Amino acid sequence: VTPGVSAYLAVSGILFAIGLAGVLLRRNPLIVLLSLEVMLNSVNLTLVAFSRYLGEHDGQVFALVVMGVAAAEVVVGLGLIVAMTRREMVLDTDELGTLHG
Amino acid sequence: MVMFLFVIAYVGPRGELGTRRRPAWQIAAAVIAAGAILAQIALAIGGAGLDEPEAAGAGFGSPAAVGQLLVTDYLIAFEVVSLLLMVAAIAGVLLGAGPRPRRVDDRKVDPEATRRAASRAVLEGVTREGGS
Repeated sequence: VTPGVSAYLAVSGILFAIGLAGVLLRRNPLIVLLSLEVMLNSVNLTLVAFSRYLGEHDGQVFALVVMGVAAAEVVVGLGLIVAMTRREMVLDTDELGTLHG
Repeated sequence: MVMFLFVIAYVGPRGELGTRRRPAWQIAAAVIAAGAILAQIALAIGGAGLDEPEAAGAGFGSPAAVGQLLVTDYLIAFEVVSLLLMVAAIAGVLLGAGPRPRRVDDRKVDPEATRRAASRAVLEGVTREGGS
C-alpha cells in the first residue's frame, strides 16, 4: 500500500517545524543553515508529493529549481562561515549584529 | 550536504551555545500557539479529502519527461538558476579566498597622509604665488 498524499504532507509539516525551530532557537550559524536546508527540503517533499498526486510534472521542475537556489544559498552561507572562522570571530548569530568591512 | 561536512571539519569542535533563557509566560504562550497551529494543520490535512488514489501512472516522473519540461516550458527558470549558480560559485571563491595579500609598496602608503601632503603642497604653492 502506497501512502496517500496526506502522509507526505504530515512528514513535510514535521520537517518544516523542526527546521523552523532550529532557525529560531539555535545560535550557531552552521546549525541555522542546516535547519534552513531541512525547511527547503520539506517544501520539496510537498511539491513532489502533489506533483505525483495531480499527475503533472510541473512540481518536480519546481523542486529542481528549489534545489538549485538552495545550493547557491549554501555556498554563500558556508563561505561567510569560513570567512568568519578565518577572522577568529565568535560563531554566534546574536553577536553578528553589525556589518563591518 | 557534503559541503556542510567539509565546513564542520574546517571549523572544528566548538562548545554548543545554549538557548537564551526566556520568561515563563513566553514559553507558555509559545506552547499554546504551537498547539493551536498543530491542530489547525492536522484539521486542514485531514479534512481536505486528499486520500483519493494518485493520478500518476507507473511510468510517472521519468527523467525524460521532467527534462523535456525543463527545456521547453521552464527554460527561463532553468537559465536563471544556471546564472545564479555561477554567481554563487564566484562568490564562494571570493569569500573563501580570504583577505587579499597586500604588496610591499601598498603597506608604506597611507592614503590619508598622501592626500594631506598633496593638499599642503598645493596650498603652499598658492600662497607663495599670491605673496610674490
